[in-house]
Amino acid sequence: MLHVVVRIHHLSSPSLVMKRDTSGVAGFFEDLPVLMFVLAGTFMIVASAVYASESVMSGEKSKELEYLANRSADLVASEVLGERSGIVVTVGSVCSTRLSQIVKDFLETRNFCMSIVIVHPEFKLLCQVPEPSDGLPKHACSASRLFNALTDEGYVAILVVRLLAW
Amino acid sequence: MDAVVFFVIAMAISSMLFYYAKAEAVQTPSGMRDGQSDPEAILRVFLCASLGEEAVLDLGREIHVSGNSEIAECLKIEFDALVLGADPGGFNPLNDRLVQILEAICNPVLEPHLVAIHLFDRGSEKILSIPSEPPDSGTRYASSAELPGYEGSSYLLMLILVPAPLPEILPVGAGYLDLGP
Repeated sequence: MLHVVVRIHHLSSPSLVMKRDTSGVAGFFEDLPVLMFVLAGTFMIVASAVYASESVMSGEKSKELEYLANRSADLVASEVLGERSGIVVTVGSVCSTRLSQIVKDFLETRNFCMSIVIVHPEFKLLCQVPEPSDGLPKHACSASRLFNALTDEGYVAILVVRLLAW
Repeated sequence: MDAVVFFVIAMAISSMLFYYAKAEAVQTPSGMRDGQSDPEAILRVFLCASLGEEAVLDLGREIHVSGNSEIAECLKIEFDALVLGADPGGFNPLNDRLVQILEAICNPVLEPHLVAIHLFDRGSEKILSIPSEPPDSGTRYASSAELPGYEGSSYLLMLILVPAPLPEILPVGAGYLDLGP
């Protein structure tokens, strides 16, 4: 009975445990440079992949917005000028046309801001719909179209339709 | 050694991804062009528009060009006169007005240049370039229209848009602004 007790005490001696802990800590620090290389490489791949995907997504969104803005500007220009080309419309008829509803129907859920400006013979804002709100959109695209219109004074003016979609 | 190889491969992959992302960002989205940057649209509306203000030309005797006159007609009269040997300086008020109109129509980041060439049987001759000669190199956008000319000849009118030079950036607090007493 006494013999068995002594053997157990010998196996759990503090010197043996200390030796194992010391070698374990040294091995961990030896592997740190390897771990740093692996972690840095993994981080670089993940970061560049996230950046590339964000960039591609942003580009796709810009392309779609650009198409919508250009198409809306074309719709406005064709509504103002009508089917026949070479006909000069009057400035009054441009203002009376329900252009904002046409753009709203086309863009559906998208926001937009449209303005029609006379740039020649004088600079004058004809109309702006809807009124600009506070804050700036994160992604937006603009388009403009030029056309002639007859003023009340008898001049052939140059008008610009500017459309911002977001 | 394995970790270093992995790191080098990771660098190569991330460089490729960054290059791809940058190429996507720089790529022009489509062939659509803004109306105020499109030389064809600008030239079309410019030629059909009225002069807007009366111009007084000094060609030996004073000639008043009405503000209702179509710009294309004014240009044809000017080109005919230049071909017949009129003094180009006499048309300066008209040319200044035309440059003003072009600058009002164009996108502010572009500088318009109007060049006219007289086309006749034996060849061609440049007769007008306002406000100055366009640069020979660099990015340029152009459109042209042909106007009927004197005795069966014709005039080739070219609108050339070049990127406007960037404004000089003044240092803050360098004393450039005279705010007065």
